[in-house]
Amino acid sequence: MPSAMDHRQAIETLALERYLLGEMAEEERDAFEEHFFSCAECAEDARAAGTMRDAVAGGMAGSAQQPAGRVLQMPATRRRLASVVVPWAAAASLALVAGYQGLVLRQGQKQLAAPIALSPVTLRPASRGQEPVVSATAGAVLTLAVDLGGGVTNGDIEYEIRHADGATIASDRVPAPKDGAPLLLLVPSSLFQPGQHYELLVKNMKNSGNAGLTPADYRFTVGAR
Amino acid sequence: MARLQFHEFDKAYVDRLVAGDPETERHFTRYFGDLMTLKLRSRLRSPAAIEDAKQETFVRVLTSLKRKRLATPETLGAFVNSTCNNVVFELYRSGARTSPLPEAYDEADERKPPADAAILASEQQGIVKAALDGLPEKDRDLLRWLFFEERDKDEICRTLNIDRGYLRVLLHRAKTRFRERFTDQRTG
Repeated sequence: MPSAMDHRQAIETLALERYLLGEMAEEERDAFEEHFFSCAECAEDARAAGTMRDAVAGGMAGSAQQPAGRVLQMPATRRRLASVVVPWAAAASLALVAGYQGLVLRQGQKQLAAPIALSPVTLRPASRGQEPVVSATAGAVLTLAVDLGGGVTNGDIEYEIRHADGATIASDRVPAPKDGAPLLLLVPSSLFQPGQHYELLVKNMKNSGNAGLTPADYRFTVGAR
Repeated sequence: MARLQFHEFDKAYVDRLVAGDPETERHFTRYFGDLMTLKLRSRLRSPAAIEDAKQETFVRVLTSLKRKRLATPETLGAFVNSTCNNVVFELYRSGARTSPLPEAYDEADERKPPADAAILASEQQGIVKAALDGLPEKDRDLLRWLFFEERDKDEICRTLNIDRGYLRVLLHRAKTRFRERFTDQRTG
């Protein structure tokens, strides 16, 4: 008798993806099957995934006859992600200036008379590698570029920044970025403690229609000022 | 994956199923047929063996329901799953697992489906193909490497310069985009 898997566990551990990749031990596999036979939401996802896998296995996503060199022509994901983020960030910098300006003007410090170049730190889902270190400068803002995976196209999303001890330091509901762009967040560095760990959670708003958003958390460390 | 209306697995559903209501029977066999195909793929290599196991499971579930209703109809899914487990276990014991599988794996099942099922399957194929064609090339490449070429996953990770955790994330995104496009194709 496998130990039970609940819906939250299935979603948070990307159980269906691990199931499709054959990464589950027998007991966990049985537990997940027991779950998706009883959970309408996971069952629909599993049915779609099974259809997709069978279609691809049947050659409907292109055949193996394509030259092997094609694989090598595909840029590595790290580079591809960077190419999405960086040009967009560059193009968006002007728009960002407005956000930054608003922040500065609200503080009554000074008028913005020239463009400001921002250097966002790209955050990727927590499963990937080490935590990036984000440098905070006194009186400035942290600029975070959150890789959402390109699946969000409309509606709103919700983010929450938490300290490692679970305390929420910022949260909001914002329009989803368009066309695979990352979510860019400017956060006053005064909200962070240098040397501390934080996590950013991004999720769909209910009924937003953003089925493409990967529910994920993004962890980062704030460096010394 | 046929388009299915949402059904609650409640007492009314089980009553309709036991009474032989055609729409409910169709829903039941498609819904759980898809789930069993997914499940049995990792256990039985031959499409014919998978089909046999599914049919045997359906017969046992329906026979059992007619004899004695489920105390809690909401557990219908769990009941189908456990029945399917029993069928597979018996197949293993009878030695079906040791029959020559690799050769049979790619062979088409020679049993011909009914004409209407063939038309439906053909329409379905077109929708699935369109959904796959609509995916970004990087998604199609990844899916093809995983499920068609069955490449070593560590090799894929090295090619993409990612770790296994991120491979899951990429698969999640490709699957989500497929599902969106598949749904759009069906409803559009």
